[in-house]
Amino acid sequence: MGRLRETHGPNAGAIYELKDVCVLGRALDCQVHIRDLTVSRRHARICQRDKRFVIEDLGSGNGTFVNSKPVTRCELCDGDTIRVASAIFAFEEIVGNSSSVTMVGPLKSEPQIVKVVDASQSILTDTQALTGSSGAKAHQILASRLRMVYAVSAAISNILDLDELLDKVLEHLFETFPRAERGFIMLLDDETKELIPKAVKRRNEGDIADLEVSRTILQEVIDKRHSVLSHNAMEDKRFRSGSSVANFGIRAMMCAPLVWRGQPLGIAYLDTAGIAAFSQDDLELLTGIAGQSAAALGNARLHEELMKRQRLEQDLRLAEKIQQSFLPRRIPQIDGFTFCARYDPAYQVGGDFYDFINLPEGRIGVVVADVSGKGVAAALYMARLTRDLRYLALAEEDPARVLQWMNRAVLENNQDDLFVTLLYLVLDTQQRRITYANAGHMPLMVRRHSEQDVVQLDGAAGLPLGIVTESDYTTEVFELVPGDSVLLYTDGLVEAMSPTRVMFGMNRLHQALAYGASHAHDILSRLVRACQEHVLDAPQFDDTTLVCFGLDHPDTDAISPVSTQRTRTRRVRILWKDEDEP
Amino acid sequence: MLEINRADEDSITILTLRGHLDALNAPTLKREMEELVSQKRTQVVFDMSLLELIDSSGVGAIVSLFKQVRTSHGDVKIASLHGQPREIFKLLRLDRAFDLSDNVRVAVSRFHS
Repeated sequence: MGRLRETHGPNAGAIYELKDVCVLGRALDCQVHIRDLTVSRRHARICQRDKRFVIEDLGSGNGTFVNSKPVTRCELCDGDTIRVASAIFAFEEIVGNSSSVTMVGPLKSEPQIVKVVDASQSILTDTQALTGSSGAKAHQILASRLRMVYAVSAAISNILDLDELLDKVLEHLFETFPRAERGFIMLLDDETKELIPKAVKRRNEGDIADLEVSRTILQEVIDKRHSVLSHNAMEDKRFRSGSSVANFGIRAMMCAPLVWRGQPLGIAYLDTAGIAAFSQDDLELLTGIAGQSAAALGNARLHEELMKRQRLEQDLRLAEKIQQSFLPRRIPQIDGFTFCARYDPAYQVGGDFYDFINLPEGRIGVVVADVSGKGVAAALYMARLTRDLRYLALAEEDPARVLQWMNRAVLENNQDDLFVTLLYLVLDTQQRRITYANAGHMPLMVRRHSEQDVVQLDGAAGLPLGIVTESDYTTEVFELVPGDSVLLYTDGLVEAMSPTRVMFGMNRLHQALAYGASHAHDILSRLVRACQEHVLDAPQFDDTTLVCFGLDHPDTDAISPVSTQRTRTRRVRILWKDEDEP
Repeated sequence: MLEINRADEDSITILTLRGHLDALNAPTLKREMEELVSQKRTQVVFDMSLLELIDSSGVGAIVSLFKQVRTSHGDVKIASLHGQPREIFKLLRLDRAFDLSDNVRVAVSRFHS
């Protein structure tokens, strides 16, 4: 939540609660209406996005200023000053559910701590802790405490929603301590280790003043894990400004750490007017309730983490299904050609993809790509790209032009950190040639029929998709002769790490290509084996995709005589074979 | 581990990266870059002399800043790229999109030319 406080201007003193969108201007229907002719009708706008507030100038005549600097768009922080012509506003961010709790200090005169209870000592069993009481009296106090702590514990232990739990704890604290006027719970942020107010409660609903509390005291409660009872710990802006002289005076406060499994999770805080409002007994009781609350809080957190993990796993399973529905289930079967592919995601879902696209006149589009990033988002985006590419490949013959279209499609996605490396080629089975274009992807490799004859096709190389609008791509042609096999792959292969952190590298790739039979199936299985032997049991970091196809050679492959094959290729019939068929 | 050091020289911001820029550390850099964008600092030099390793998430973070500052006529220039990060930039042909310089001084001066 956030609000604007008009400090100077026609409505000085006014407070505006900020909703999702709030317009400042001279027009009457503006949420923040400013009666000033130098203000534009719709002058500026404040929008809330992900709990953050952003102010935008709506093309005003006289500009919008944040902390005296002109802005067109600017994220607001608590305490920022916004000026629109003669009106000046203070932006206040409200954390928690009713009003803000601000930590102040160190103060000139730090509040005096009058009593301390060690939170690691159980006040429920340790009668020693019952100072000043003995015998039957002590047992009576103990029993009554036990009852109260048990009542709170029973009421909250099954609440798994964090917000609900914190509200409930405060509610019970107010019941247990009828004199408490205000209370809040702050939790330590996992990352920053700062105390963040999570729930605030006031007995009197008209009490809307900001709460200020000594940072020193809270830090002491967290660091030493003990509860403190103090006087005048809180300063109230209202009292300083003297608007409520009646309440001016000393306040009493109690603060207890929320300790779970020896770790502080946060603090619970209560305060009220008057110097002797809370007793040592109260402090011990608060410590006990805080301990029970911390246990419930710990459970709720565990539950939340578990739910998050389950949701994530569900997401993953869904993304995996979506992705697999887009990967080609069948690989082409064409007389005289051999196709094979292997896809090996590092995680359940990956950012690699490959596809075979059936084009008119005996042509086949072949694509291998790698979307930046890993996991669900990359996989979902990959699924979309596959669809775009299938469409574009049919509409546009020239691979370079297909990449130009794809580049625009990726840029339109507006995901700034997204880019895609992609190699697209069209195999013309009649002309026996490939035309290809490369957007920042690993170069095509061709293994000729004879051993050690490997060609790396470095041409037609351009920028990855999704970086700049003006990317240029070129198309190159490579004529195939019988025995040629073409390999497409992703960097997951080249960068596969051995247990001693050595990359597979281009040299090993060349070696695996150069030696052994030139048939596509042989090449693919040699590469997979070489990579497995290199990686051994080291974890796989990146997706690996291999696509290999070749023009069969009459010497090594049992294919039909050349004459029959010619007649066939004139009217090419493309059959598709299921990948899992033998 | 990734260490980011920021230095502002007039309108130019120099970000020195030290260590590894990968999927784990990219969010740290992205937070730093969000701040740059919100402060409208659109002339950025990355000093890569101490960067040992980069992966696609890291490249993605730099590409993201590049795309954002270009919309407001800024630029991202890269200085002292070497070792594995240099190979990655070449492999991705990013040497064509980014202005690469041998050192920070040269990169900074190219904003003035």
